[in-house]
Amino acid sequence: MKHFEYARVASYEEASAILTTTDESRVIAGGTDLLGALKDDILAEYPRQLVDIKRIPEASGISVKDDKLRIGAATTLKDVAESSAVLKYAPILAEAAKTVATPLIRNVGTLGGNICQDVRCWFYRYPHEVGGRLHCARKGGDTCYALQGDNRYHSIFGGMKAHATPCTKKCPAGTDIPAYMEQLRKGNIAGAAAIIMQVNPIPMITSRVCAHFCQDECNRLCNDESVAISNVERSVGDYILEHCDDFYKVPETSTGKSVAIVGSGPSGLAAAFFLRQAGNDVTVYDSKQEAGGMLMYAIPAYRLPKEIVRKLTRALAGMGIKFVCGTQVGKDVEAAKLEKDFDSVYYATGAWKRRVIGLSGEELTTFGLDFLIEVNQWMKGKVGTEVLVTGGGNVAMDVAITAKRLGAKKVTLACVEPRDLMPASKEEVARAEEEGILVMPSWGLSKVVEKDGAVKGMELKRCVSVYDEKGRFSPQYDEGEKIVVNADSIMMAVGQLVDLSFLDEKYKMQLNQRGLIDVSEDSQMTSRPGIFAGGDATIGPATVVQAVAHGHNAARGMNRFLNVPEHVCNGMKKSGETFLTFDPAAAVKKDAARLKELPAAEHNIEREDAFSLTPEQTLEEAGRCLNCGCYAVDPSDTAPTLVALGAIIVTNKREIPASEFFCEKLKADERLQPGEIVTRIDIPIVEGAVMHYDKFRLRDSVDFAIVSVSSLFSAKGGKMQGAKIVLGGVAPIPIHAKEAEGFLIGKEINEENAERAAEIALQGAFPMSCNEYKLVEAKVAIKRAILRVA
Amino acid sequence: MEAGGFDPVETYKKNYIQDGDRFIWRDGRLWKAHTMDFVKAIQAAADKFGWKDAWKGWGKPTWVSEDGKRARGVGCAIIGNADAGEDQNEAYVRVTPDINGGESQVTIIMDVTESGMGQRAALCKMVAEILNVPYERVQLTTPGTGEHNPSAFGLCGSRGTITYGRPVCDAAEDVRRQLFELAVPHLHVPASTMELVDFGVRSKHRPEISVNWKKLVPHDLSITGYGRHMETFGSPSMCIIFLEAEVDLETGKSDVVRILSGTDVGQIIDPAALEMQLHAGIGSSSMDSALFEENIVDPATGRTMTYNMIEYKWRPFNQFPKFDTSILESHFDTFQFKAVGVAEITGAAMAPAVMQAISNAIGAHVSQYPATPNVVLKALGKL
Ligand SMILES: Cc1cc2nc3c(=O)[nH]c(=O)nc-3n(C[C@H](O)[C@H](O)[C@H](O)COP(=O)(O)OP(=O)(O)OC[C@H]3O[C@@H](n4cnc5c(N)ncnc54)[C@H](O)[C@@H]3O)c2cc1C
Ligand code: SF4
Ligand code: SF4
Repeated sequence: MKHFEYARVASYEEASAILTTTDESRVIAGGTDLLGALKDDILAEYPRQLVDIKRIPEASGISVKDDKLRIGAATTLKDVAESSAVLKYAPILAEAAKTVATPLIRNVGTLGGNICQDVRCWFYRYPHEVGGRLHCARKGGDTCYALQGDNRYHSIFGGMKAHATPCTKKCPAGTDIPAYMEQLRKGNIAGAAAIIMQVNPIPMITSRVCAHFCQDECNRLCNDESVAISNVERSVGDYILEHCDDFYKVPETSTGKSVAIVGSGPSGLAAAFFLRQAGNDVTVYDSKQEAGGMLMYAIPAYRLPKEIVRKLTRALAGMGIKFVCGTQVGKDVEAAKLEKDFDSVYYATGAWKRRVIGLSGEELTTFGLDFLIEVNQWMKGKVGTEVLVTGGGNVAMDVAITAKRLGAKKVTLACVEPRDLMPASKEEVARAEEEGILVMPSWGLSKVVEKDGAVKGMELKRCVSVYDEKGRFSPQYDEGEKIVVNADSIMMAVGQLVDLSFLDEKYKMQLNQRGLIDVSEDSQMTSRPGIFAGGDATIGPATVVQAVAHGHNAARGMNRFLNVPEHVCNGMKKSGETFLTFDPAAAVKKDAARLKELPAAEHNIEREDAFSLTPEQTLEEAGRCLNCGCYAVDPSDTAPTLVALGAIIVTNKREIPASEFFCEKLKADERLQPGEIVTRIDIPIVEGAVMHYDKFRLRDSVDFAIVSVSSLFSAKGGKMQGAKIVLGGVAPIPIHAKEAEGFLIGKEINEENAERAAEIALQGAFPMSCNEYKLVEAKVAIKRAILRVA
Repeated sequence: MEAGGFDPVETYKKNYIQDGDRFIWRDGRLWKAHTMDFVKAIQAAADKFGWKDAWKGWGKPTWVSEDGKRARGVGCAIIGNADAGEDQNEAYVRVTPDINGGESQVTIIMDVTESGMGQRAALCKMVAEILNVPYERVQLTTPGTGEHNPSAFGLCGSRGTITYGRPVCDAAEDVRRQLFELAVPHLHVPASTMELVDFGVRSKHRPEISVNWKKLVPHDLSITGYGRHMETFGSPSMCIIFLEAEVDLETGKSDVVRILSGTDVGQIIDPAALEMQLHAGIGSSSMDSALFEENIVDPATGRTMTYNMIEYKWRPFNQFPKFDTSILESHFDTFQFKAVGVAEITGAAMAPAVMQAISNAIGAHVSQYPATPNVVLKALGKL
C-alpha cells in the first residue's frame, strides 16, 4: 500500500470539512472494501487522506423513532443482522446483511460502507501488481472488458454509460453513435435518424464527406476493425432524405422571433434547421446562385452528388426556411441592415479566398477552389495534358482527382508535408494514388517555370521540416535540392482564406489573433450582442462536421439569447433511464462493412463512386457496435433491499430516497456530492408483509450475489394484495420490477402466476455471451419468493 | 462402465491392482505389485456408505424431492498411485550416551521437509519404537541444512511414509545391531536373544542381565546407523470416494451432502493425522473443481481473473459437508511398519465422483468441470 494520511474524527462536520478541503480524500468506515481496493491499487488516483467516521458518537446504533427504523451509517453488518429491532421491523434487511461476505467481514464492515462500496467487476478489480490495472470505461478509459471477455457475472439488463464513448467524443458534432446503432439493432431506423438529427441535420452529407474522426478510436480497434460508422450513418442519412417530411417539419408553434443566416454552407444550414425547428422565422442569405456553399460548389459530385444537396435544401425550405440566393451581404445588402431587420444574425460565410503565397509566376496558376467551383466550364475547355496540383489537403486531392477524371494525362501532386503529416485523410490520398496521381510529399514551391507567358512547369525545392519546435507551420527547405515538374496547368490548393470584407469600418466585430471573427465557445456569440458566427469564418478552413457543430452550437446560443427553449439532446438524459444493449452474436464479426464501389474504369466526375450499404448490411454493421459503457452489476446486498423497503438515505446534507440514490447514477462515488457523507438510513416500518432476501451465489459461505431478490408481499385468501420486487446483481443498479408487481396484485398465488410474474420481471433482459444462466436464476428466485407466500 | 451399465464398485473390485499383478509404470519398467489387496477396503467403504441401497444405476437419481425440484445422486471414484515408493532417500540414526545419567539421546539425521502432515513426528515414533526409547528422546535434524544432512528428496508428501520410513528404520536397526554386537562380551548370550530396554541391552531369557549403552559406546563417542531407500513402484496405494450430491433442478446449483473416503493404509502410524488427511481430500483443486473452484483465464485479455479468494472459489470450513471415513489396516509388505502413504491422493477421486453423482441425480451426462449452474442448466436442456 502507498502512503496516506489518516484522520479519526469526532463529528460529521469535522469529517466533511476535511473532505471538502483535501483533494483525493475519502471516508473510511470498516475499511473492508476500501483497503482491499487500495492494496490492489486498482485505481490510478490513490487517496491521500482517509477520514475515519467510526468514532463519531451518533454514527453507530439502531433505534426506532417516528415509525421509522433508524440505523447509523457506521453500524456494523453483524449488528444489523442480529438487532432485534431490525429482525422485528425489517427482517429482510437482517437477512440481507447476514449474507454479506464472511462473519469476520460483517464484524467490521458497516451498512454505510456496504451501500457505498465500489463495484466488484473482476476486470475493474484486477490488481495492479499482477500485470497492471485495467483502465476500463468505468475508470475513465474507453473499453469495457466485459463486452468481449468473460462476463459470466455481469449484467443481464445491459450496461450504463460511464462517460461519452470515444466515438462520440471524437465526433465534433457529438453524435450519440452507440445510441443510434442501438435503435438500428432494434429495427427502428426512424429512431436512429432522430438521434442523429438531434445534433446533425445533414447526415446524408457528413457520412459522405466527413473524415469520420469517430472511427479513429472506436473500441473495436483493440481487437479488429472500427465500426464503419460513416457507412451506417450514410444509410440513415439516405433514409432521412427519402422521408424528408418526417424529419424536416414545419414547427407547430412560432416564437415570433426572426433570424438571418449569412452563408448556406453546412454551418448555416445546420443553424437554420435548429433555429427553425424551435419555431423561429429563418432567412438564409447566400451570394451564390444555389444554396449549399462548399457542399454545392467545392466538393466534387463523385463524392457528394449535387442532387443530395438540392434535396436537402428543398426539405429545409419545406420547413419554412427562406433562402435568399445570389445576394452578397456587404454588397447587395448591408450587414447593419440585417442586424436591424432581424432579432439575431449568424455569420457562416466560410473560407473562399485565394491564398497568395508570393511565388514568381503565381498569377499564371489557377486557384484550385475556383477550378472545383467552375468545373463545368473546365469540362467544356481543356484541363491540360500535364497538371500539377500543389497542396496536401483534401481540397488538393479533390482537385487532382477531378483534373485526372477530366482527361489530364498526367497529374502530379506536390506538398511540403511528408506523407505521414499530409492533412488529407489517408483514404483520400489512397484514392488519388489509385487513380494514377503521382504524389510527391516533402516538396515546397520554388517558382513557376514559364515561357512567353505560358506555364511550362514548376520548380520544387526539398522541404526538410514543416513545423518548428513549438508546432507552428514554418517550413524549412534545402535550397540545394530542386527539381522541375513539367506542367501546362498548375492548380494551387494550398489553403483558403476567410474573407471578412463584408464587415465594413462601421460594423466592427472583435477579431482574434488570426484575424478571424472572435466568438464565445459556448454560444458562438461575437462581440456584438445577438450577432453570432461559426464555421470556417471563425476557425479557418476546417471540416463539414465541425461547421455543423458550430451551427448547432450557434442555434442553441441564439435560442438562449432570444429566450426560446432549447431542444433536448441524448447527452442530457439521465443515465439510468434505459440500459445499453448490444448484440453479442453480431458483435463477433471482425470485418467492417465496406461500400460497394464503381469499377475504376467507370469513375467520372458526375456519378458517385460508391453505393450505400444495403439495409441488411447496415443492420449487420450496427450489430458490430458494442455500445460501450459499463456492464458491471451493483455488488451490494443491502442496496436492493433498501430500495424495496423504501428507505431514505440520510446524509449530512440531504435526505435521498433509496430508489433515487441507487438507481440514477452508475458510480457510488457520483451519488454523493463533495464533502457529503451518509450518516443514517431511515426505514419506514412496514406492517404485515412477508419479506425475504433471496441470494443466489456459487459458494454459500462467501460470495457476492449472482442474482438477488428482495421481496415484500402481502396476501389474503390466497390472493396477492401488495407486492414489491427488487432484483440485485443483475444490472448496474437495482432493478425494481414494477410491471411484475402490477401483474401480481389481485392474482391468485400459484405456480402459473408466479412464473408469469417472473417472465414479466425479466422482460427486456439482455444476457451477454457467458451469462444467460443468470436469467434462469432470476426467474426461479422470483417464482420461489412468490410461491413462499402461499 | 457407464456404457456397460456396470456397478462401479464391482468394477473397481475386479480391476484394481492386486498382489502379483504386473504393470508398466511411467518409468517404462515392468513392476509387480506385492501383498497389496484393496478389495476388502473397497467393499468395507461401500458398505459403510450404504452404496448398495443408494446406487440405482447410471443416470438414475437416488432420491427426488416430492415437488420434483431437487434430486440426489451418488458417485464413486477411485485413485491409486504406485509412486508411493518413488524417492531415493538416506538417513543416519545416531545414539549419543548422556554424560551424566543413564539415558541417551537419539538423533535422526535426515532431510525431512513437511507442511503440517506430521511426517517428522511419525519418523521419530518409528525410531523410538525400534530402539525402545521414549518418543521425547528422539530428535530429527532441521531440514534444508544440506551440508549436515544426507541427501533426500525434500517434501516427499505421502511417498515419505515408505521412502523416509524405510531409511530411518534401517538406520535404527543398524544401530540396534551394533549395540547387540557390542553387548556380546558383557552379556555372554547370542545377539539374536537380546533386546533393547531402558537405554540398555538385555537378554530376553535372563532379563536380570543387562548393560547400559553408555558402557557399550566408547567414551566421548557415539554410534551411527545408516539406512536408505531405493526407488520402487511395486506398492501402490488406494483411496476410494463415495459421495452424494444434491442438485436443484430449477437453478442447476449442486452441492455435496455427504462424503465417505475409504482406504487401506497398512499399519496406521498416526490415526488422527490420517483422519485429517482424508478430510483434506476436499482440499483445493479437488472436490470443488467439480462444483465451483476454477482457474479462469479471460479469453479476450488472456489474464487470469481468479486472482483473489473471492474470484478463486475455495470452500471455507464453515461450508464443509458431512464426512465419514472407512480405514482398513492390512499389513503390507512395504517396510518395517507395513504402511503405505495415502494423503496425497485423497482428493484426486473427489471431483469425478461429484460429476458422476450430479449426472446420476439429473439423469444427464455432465462432463464439463466445474459443473456450475450454467453447465448443469445446459445439461438439463434449460439453456
Ligand atoms: C471477501 C469479501 C466478500 C464480500 N462479499 C460481499 C457480499 O457478499 N455482499 C456485499 O454486499 N458485500 C460484500 N463485500 C463487501 C463488503 O460488504 C463491504 O466491504 C462492506 O460492507 C463495506 O463496509 P465498510 O464499512 O468496511 O466500508 P469501507 O471499506 O470503509 O468503505 C467502502 C466505501 O464506502 C465509502 N463509505 C463508507 N462509509 C461511508 C459513509 N458513511 N458515507 C459515504 N461513503 C462511505 C468509503 O469511502 C469507501 O469508498 C465483500 C467484501 C469482501 C472483502
Ligand atoms: S463492466 Fe464496467 S467495471 Fe467492468 S470492465 Fe466494463 S466498464 Fe469496467
Ligand atoms: S464500438 Fe460502438 S460505442 Fe464503442 S467506440 Fe465503437 S462505435 Fe463507439
